[in-house]
Amino acid sequence: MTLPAPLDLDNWFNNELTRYLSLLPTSNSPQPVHVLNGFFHHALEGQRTSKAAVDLVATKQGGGWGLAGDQLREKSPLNLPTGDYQLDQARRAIRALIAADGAVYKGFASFQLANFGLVTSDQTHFRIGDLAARLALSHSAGPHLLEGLIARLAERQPNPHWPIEHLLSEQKTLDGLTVATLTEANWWGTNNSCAEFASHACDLMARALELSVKSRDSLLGLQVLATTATLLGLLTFAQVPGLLCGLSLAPLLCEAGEPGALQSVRSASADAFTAIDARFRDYLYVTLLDKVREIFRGVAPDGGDAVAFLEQCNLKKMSGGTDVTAQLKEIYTSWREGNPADVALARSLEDAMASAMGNKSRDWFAAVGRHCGLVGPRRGKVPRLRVEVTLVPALVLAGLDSSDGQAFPMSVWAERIASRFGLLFGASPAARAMSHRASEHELEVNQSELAVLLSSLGLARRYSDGVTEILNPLKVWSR
Amino acid sequence: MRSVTEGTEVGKAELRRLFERGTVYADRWTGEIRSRLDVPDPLTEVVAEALGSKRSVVLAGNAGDGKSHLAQRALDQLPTRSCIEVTSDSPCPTPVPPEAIIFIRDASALSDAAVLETTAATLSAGATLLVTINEGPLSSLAHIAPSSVFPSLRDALHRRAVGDSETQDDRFLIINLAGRQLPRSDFVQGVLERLLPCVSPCGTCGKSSKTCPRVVGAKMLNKSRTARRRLGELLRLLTDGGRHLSAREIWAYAIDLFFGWTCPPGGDDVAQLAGYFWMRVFAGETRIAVEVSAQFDPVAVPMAREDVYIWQGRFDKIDADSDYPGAPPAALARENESHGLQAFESAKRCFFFFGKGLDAASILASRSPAPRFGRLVERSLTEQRPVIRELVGLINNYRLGLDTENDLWISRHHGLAAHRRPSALAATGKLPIDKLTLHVPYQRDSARYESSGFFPTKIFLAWEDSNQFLQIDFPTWQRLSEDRVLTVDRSQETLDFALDLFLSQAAIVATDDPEIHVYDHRTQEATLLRIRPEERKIEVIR
Repeated sequence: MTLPAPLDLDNWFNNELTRYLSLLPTSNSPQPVHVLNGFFHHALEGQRTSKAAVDLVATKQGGGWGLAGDQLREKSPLNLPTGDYQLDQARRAIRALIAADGAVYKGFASFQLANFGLVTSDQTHFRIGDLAARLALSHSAGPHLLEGLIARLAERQPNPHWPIEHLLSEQKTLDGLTVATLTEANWWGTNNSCAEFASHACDLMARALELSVKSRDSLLGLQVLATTATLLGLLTFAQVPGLLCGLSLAPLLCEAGEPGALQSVRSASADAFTAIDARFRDYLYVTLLDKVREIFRGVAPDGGDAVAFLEQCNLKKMSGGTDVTAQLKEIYTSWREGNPADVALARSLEDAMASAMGNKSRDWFAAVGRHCGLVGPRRGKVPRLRVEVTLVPALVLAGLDSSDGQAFPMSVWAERIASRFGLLFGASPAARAMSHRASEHELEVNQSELAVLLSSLGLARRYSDGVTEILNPLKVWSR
Repeated sequence: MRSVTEGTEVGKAELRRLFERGTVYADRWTGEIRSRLDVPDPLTEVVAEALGSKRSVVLAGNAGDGKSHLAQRALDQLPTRSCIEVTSDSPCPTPVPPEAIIFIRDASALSDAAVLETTAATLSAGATLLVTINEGPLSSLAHIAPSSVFPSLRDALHRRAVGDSETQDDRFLIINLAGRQLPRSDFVQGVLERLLPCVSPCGTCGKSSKTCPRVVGAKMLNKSRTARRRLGELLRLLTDGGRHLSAREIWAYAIDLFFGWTCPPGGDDVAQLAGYFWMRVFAGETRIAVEVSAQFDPVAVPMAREDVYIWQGRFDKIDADSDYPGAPPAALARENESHGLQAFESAKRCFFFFGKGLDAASILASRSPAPRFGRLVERSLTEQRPVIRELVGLINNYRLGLDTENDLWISRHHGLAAHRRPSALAATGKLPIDKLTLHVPYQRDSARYESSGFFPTKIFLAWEDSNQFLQIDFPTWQRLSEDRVLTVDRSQETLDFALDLFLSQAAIVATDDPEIHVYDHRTQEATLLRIRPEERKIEVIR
């Protein structure tokens, strides 16, 4: 049998599959600070000039300023303190404010954005920023809200970060900013099976933008925007592969309260975490099966031909993964038992690919989740879905509706985040249907822990008899 | 028409049987038992008076707060007025007699439709409604029937619970018993007065035993007003720490202190030690005992002189309301060290309750921060400004290491990562404390029904023009008093974030060339910068 050209799995994964998902779940794990920068980089057109800021606060690997004091004075357009001690003191203080998350280096930098002058072309968001921009610009109100945010951040803001970042920005950069135009692309949002999820994701992104435009404090708005954009990247990874395979939303049971205090919730949320990666792998298989059928036009090779094809394929290879080229025959043979040839071929490719990646996608989800507050514990061997404080405003926005007043019942909110994004906290039919089911009592306690957290933050009010009302940040924080 | 005064008087034996079973569901008590165990409540008069003047009454609260008991006692006080209780078997009459009181003993026992129909029919007939309802069902009724009275009732309750002003609806007297902290009323003393005379020996010791720890302890407690008061102070320690104790919980706890104990067959004196109420207060198995001992245990309080006398068994040397009934710890320790220590624990705890001249309040305050928080909340009921000042001082110190109490620095950070606590906080401005207000839950109830125990478990710091409140409950206040750390500490992270959200709503104005106070918690370095945009200049002021 004459075999068609072998598959370049590395290229297929990086340029077809992950581009379609708008995620690169095998990359270094981006933080919200990278995602916010990436979001603005893709959503706003204009110059990127952050040299003055990078020179001022970037450090070298292993410590020390990237640019020594004398060199800095020479190169910087800024009027800096003349004394070395005072210059150092100013640099330390400013670095602690605008590079708080340690994402500013000489070569690539993502600042704690409070002002658009410091948006950079840093790619460390690894497509999540791009995804967020696509979601925002796909919403009918998105471009208008972005214009509103440009206008707002052009005005003086009373937070400490804005005047510093404004000083470090070039006026011509600020003057030339415009909202980017949405480009045509083949991505999951255009797939019918994801239409509803995409619509909720766009709405959520638009609400986060609205908050940053209309809320009293722009800094808080930007923080929520960063977390929301990162959360949407994670939810895309958790839900879109399953939806594309024709499944319903995965139940994402999140632990609230003290880590590990509720044993059955802990294990059920750890199970939900594991199931996310399993869905991703199933999606890889289904997509590879389509590819195999496309290549062989429905007549897949068998036996030695199939193995020969597999051996010719360029398997993806990543650090931490295992090269299984030598075992391809055994892998194929075991899959072939009881399966048609094309299935065995796709399964073998998926196996080879997963082995080559190690646990990359799972580790990626865990790390990004930890950065944005959807995965815990911070250090521990059982990663699981849990909610940390910084994520709470984004979660609240996820359960809002345009008709909501200043307060509405938490039960309504909980139903919405479950039906829109699969996020679960308390006892519900979806939580009860999980294969690894938490006890009813612990689910109720978990929901109550979340209510306590929300009310401690001033985002909910708890009354007697366990009644909790969610406060609408779009109303409570409005100017 | 129901009455609770019919029937013969209930004997002690029947009450004892009730206590042995630990049945403290007042709804299931007969009228006679309820009458015998009733602890006088000033709210009874209030409710009765409202009903007497044809004003409808809504009693809300948690399960066990005593809503239906209060309703029933108020009805008992009324002269001959027709009361029709609506149940699932006996629906609301049509037409409703205008002079009648329509009583819904527990709204959750009826369908939503039945509650809505009864309420609408009663109010349109000009009759009086008496309803006891938990807030859950009330909120659900408000949600499903937006044009009924329930949304406004819910709003009134919610406003009260967060210390907001409310518009008075003269048709209703609304009382939320969830706002009461019963250890701040005479309730605990009332419970003990009714319970102690009924305490009997355990089954092992037999009816006539005079040495069963149950009866010995009860007799001693019955005789000592000081000891009863101290037991109340221990429960108040919990409520000062924000724990709401319902009437049922207090009854169950008090009953368990005595009736929850049975002496082990063939046990010696040491085995019986655990049965005295003063041991069960701290080492019992109830949730309250666990919570009390987490806050305070007299065994851990050093008292140089008394400790020696107690250990040596020279009980005559310590001034107490009652003699300690056990053996000298030192003597027991000679035989068995562990027995000696158990005896010491027992004697020391006994001394806490019965010791004369012991300043229990000071001892509690020195061992637990809860009373200090209780006093702060108490002050907020009458004088808000000093409380705001104290809180502002705590926030400034926690965030920026500054001592000032007259202005609140609007300190911010812009860390976006959940896994890393932001080390540097900075502020460009501050606002005077007169821009802040305090919302004190149940403040009006506390003033209006003075001795009924209405008392907030938390207060809310708020900007005068924002609804973003900072909830100050006991844990928040404790965290605020600590140093801010940068290690993983979820309660501090919650406080940090709550403060960020609260401070973000401050109405400060941006200036042309701001001074920026930066405080780095990692290096504990404070820096004052000035930014001069015209000259693109950064100055270090200090």
